[in-house]
Amino acid sequence: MTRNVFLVMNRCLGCEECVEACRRENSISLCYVDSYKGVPVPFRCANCETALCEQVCPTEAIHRENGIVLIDSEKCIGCRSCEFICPWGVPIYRTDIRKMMKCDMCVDRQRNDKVPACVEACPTNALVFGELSDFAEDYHEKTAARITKAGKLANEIILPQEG
Amino acid sequence: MTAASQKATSKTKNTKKGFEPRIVALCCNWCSYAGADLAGTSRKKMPPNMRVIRVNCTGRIDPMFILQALERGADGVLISGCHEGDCHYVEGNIHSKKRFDFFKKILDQMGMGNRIDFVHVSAAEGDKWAEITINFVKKIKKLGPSPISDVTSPTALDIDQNHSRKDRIQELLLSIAKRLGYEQKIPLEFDPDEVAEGYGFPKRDPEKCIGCYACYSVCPENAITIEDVKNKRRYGTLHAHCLVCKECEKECPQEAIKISPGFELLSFLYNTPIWEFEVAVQKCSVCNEFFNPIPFCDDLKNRITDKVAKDKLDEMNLPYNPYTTCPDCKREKMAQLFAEVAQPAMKGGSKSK
Repeated sequence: MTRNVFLVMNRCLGCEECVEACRRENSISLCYVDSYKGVPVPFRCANCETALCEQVCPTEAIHRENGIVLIDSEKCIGCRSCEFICPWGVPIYRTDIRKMMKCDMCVDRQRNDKVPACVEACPTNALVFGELSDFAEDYHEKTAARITKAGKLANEIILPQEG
Repeated sequence: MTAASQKATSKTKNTKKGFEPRIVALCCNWCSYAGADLAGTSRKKMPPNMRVIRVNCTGRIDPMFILQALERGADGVLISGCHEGDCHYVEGNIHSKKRFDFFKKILDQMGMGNRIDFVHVSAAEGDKWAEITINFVKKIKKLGPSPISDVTSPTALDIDQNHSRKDRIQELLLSIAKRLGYEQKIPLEFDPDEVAEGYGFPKRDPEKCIGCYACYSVCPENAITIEDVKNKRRYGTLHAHCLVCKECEKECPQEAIKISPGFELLSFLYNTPIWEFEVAVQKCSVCNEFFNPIPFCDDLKNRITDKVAKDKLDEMNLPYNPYTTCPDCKREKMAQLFAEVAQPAMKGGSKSK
């Protein structure tokens, strides 16, 4: 099981601290907070198990490293296929370098045993970083059932916790 | 160069009767300049209309030099280099000749093409140099004075951050066209088959191109332009910027691009792309906005179903059609999905709506 950023939905305030942290870290914000009828929904790369972006990339620039989906900027030709297929719209087309860029779970920070910048910045711990089994003690059955109903993508990123 | 052409302009123009042309000759150091020297030392009789300027190699001669001389009132420009294969710098004269042939077509269009010439004179050919000089001066005398009568306020030529070399050449061309009263023909009428080898532009196969951004992204000179107009996505090329590096041909994921002969280099279309190809754009099934070319969506579909089994895609249970929904609507749908997980009460609300 790989470490990933998980989301505890009802803790999020929609303050966009994670977006700001991402901008400080990467000089461009690679995640964002949407809201649906007043409910804030923070999005970042989910490192989907069957990554659609990995499938569509014509040059195989998108690959997996320890479970993290990364873009090899040398191979990237900027065709924007991944941008259009990603369910979250996570890969961003950078007009200055004409290449795609996406959330890499702060691999550089992870090497120095730090958590990703957005997780560190989150004031309410709505974003948590770790393996799914790390959070098993707070398992909430009803939420889990709802998430499973919502589909596989939700299953991979929302944590069944606290109703 | 500058000094000579300025000297040429400082004198008042002669009338047609007894017209003495002022001609700038650009000679390569290793062959033609020595040849001209030999013609001098062997006391050949030559007309005194040539102002010879020594350059290290004809490969050094920029179209800018020729334009600059013409703009400042030179009646003719003669370029002289080594014979092919004799170049001191291996192939400088071949490059220069190629560039010259190409460049001359633009001046031909403007009616100045017969005032410039490219010749090959070796260091031993003093006689030939004298002959060429006599003939060229005769030719220019027959043509009469340069049609550019107004030589005041020449174009600035310094190259800095705001003005590239190409910008300056374009400015010079426009300035000369203005002084000549030449009406710009867009595009210039060339026979593409005549084009010197190595020139071309990216041409798309309309059946293969799917409308992605790969060629646009890999182009090192930003020569490829993509524009979305209503339900079409247009592809164009800035011919003056294309280096014919073939990067787009190499990188196109569909192998749709081929470098085809044809050019508009240095023409008046400097910053105006020539639109070449159009592709229909898909309408978003949710918000009815145009967002992505239809063949692009089809291609994404093929690429996914090739690799992933269909039931695996169904398992993901995406709340939208992945190929006909625009990114904004996708995000909204995903947000809705997530919000409903957090606040199950909202589900009823959205249903009743």
